[in-house]
Amino acid sequence: MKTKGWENVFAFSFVQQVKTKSFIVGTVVISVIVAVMAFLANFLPTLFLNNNNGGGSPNGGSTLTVTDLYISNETGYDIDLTDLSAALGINVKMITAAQADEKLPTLDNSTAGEMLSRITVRNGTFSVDSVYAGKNELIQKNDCSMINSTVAQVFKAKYLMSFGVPESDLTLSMSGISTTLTCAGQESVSEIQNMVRSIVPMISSIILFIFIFSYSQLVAQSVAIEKSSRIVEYLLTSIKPLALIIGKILAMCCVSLMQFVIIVVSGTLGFVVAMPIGIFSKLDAAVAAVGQSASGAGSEEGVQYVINEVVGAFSNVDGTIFIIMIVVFVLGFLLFAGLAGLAGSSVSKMEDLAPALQPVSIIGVLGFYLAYFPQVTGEENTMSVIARYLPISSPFVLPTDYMLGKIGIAEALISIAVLAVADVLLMMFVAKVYESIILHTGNRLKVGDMIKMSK
Amino acid sequence: MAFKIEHLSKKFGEKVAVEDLSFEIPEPGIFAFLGTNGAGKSTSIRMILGMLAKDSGTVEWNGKPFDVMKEKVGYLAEERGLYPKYNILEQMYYFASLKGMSKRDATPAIDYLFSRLKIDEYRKSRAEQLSKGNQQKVQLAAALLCNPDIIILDEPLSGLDPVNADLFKSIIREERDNGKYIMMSSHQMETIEEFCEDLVLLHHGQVVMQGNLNDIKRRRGRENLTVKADKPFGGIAQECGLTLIEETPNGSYYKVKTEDDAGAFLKKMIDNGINVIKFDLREPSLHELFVEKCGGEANED
Repeated sequence: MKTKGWENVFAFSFVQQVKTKSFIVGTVVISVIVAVMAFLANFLPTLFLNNNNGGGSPNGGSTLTVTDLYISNETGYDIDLTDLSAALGINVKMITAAQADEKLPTLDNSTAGEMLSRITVRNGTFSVDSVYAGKNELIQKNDCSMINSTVAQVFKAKYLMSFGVPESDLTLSMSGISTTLTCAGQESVSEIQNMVRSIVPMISSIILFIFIFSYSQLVAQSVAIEKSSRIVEYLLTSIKPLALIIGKILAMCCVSLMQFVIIVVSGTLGFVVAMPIGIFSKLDAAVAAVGQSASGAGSEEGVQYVINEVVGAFSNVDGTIFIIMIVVFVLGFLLFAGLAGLAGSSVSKMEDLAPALQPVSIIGVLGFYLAYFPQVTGEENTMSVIARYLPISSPFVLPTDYMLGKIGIAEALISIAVLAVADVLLMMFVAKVYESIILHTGNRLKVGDMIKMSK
Repeated sequence: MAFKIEHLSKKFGEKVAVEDLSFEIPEPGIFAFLGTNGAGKSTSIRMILGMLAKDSGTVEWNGKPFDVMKEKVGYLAEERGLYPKYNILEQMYYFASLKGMSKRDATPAIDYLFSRLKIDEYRKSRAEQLSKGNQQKVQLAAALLCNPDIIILDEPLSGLDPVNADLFKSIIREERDNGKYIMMSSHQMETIEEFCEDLVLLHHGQVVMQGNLNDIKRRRGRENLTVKADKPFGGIAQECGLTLIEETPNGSYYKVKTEDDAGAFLKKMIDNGINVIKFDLREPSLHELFVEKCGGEANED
């Protein structure tokens, strides 16, 4: 049995790698960063909400740092906004354009809580331009921004109502219009879904590349250390070269998976810990805030729409995706680690390892860009199809393509099968060459030398 | 039981690395496997241990094909090392696991060997923190860990100080006395003469000398003569057909064709009234045989 004893190599390599400072420090640091980022991703929007609500929004009732608002309506439409005074809890005074011209220079050195908003029509568009007191350090910019957008919203609502739009239709009238563009015969995809379908695969490709590629390089390093330290000759009295390399590859694969899982769990924990104080604990408020910015109308439907679109972008999220992810990760890792192992065994000095790894790096980077660029364009084209089935790129693209419904289970299985066949062929090559070159000392072996050895 | 190698050959391209190597270690003891640098010793050992495919030949242990994975074999390679960054004890447990030993079985063996080799204090150290000599002790411990039946030691004493060399020698003797089949390669001929009765000498991949060392010496006869006297005797030596090799403060060193020539030379010196202070007629040393057979050439691997 050429693979007998691989489990001992696996156990030793796994434990030793996990005990390295670089792994411990790397995992802890990245996990903490991810946990903090997840915590903040949940928590920070609530601060924004608090600022909007608690800082004196029409619903909040708290004191704003702006006390006097001067509004100059220079549009020609007779719209009075003094009733904002009650909603905002500050003094609101409508002034003429001439008065605004006089007021404006005085704001430069004003220490009062003053703000001037001028509503104009420019290039066929309403514009609200506001200036606040320059010498009052207590005025918060957030308050001014909120007042500015409130003035704009209320002005637009009153403008529409002046043309007879009923109050009940204002939400629809003021909200943005969602658009989709679909090629006949294909699934309809909204802009939000398009965005999700572009960003998620790009991020996913990068993460998969980092984990698969960086850890496969460790296999090369480990093989090169055994050769350069001359320990390999002793090991070969107890174990066959194939078992040695298989044990190493699987150990690094598991270390990589373990680090990935630890980081994901840390991120999840960070998000969960923030739940009691995070955005989901204040969903109602979030709905209002996000709805305002998304649809301009503060509607719950607006937020629900966004959430539905994001969730809807992941068409195939079920148990199968986790199996596919793990299988593709392992097969992809086997491919790159097998190549890296060969590169490592072709050298007998550590300083030769970097140049020996260059061809593997080129293949890896080529595979990554093949997977990455179609995600940037977001379009289904020849390149994206090649990337999906080519073994050097499919590990970086397949899981998200399936998750987002770009391919079905049949295509996923074909891609996995192609990858598996490539792995088997590579392992056969590795088995043939590795036994011959593992004891080689002297100059680094070239790819051509290895191919000769395999014949 | 016997360890038997027959007609082992290996070529790298057109270059013959080992040609028709055959020898047998019929009973426990230490067998000398000698050769110049690049003679094919390491290649032969690798073929014997199954690391390198052989072009032809067989290796048998106890009458059956030898499989290094199935037998208890200890190997101290010439090009040896340890994992520089890993804990020594963990490395030993790893090596034991590869030999099929459980941690429970390995612990007493490690305890004994580390104590015997005086490296107990380095158990928790990383290999890179150890001196070369102490690393070599750990490597010997790894080789002997599984209580091997067959032990192959390639230059076991190289780089050791006299104290540690003596320690290694005592352990090698101990293994021999415990009935182990030991194959040892060394360039220290005195050590080989001290330990080994049987040997094979390789040169350019070919066997140039083989057999029992005492028999080889006996066959060659006593041909080395060292003479010291109170008067010059060079002329008499020339008359008797002796070849002067070297003049030293301890005497003149001659090669004689036969022991009778030496006897005639001694008689003539006495007849001429020369007081002979030293007259030492001896067999050739292994060092001399080695140099003679290998022609004093030095090749690098």
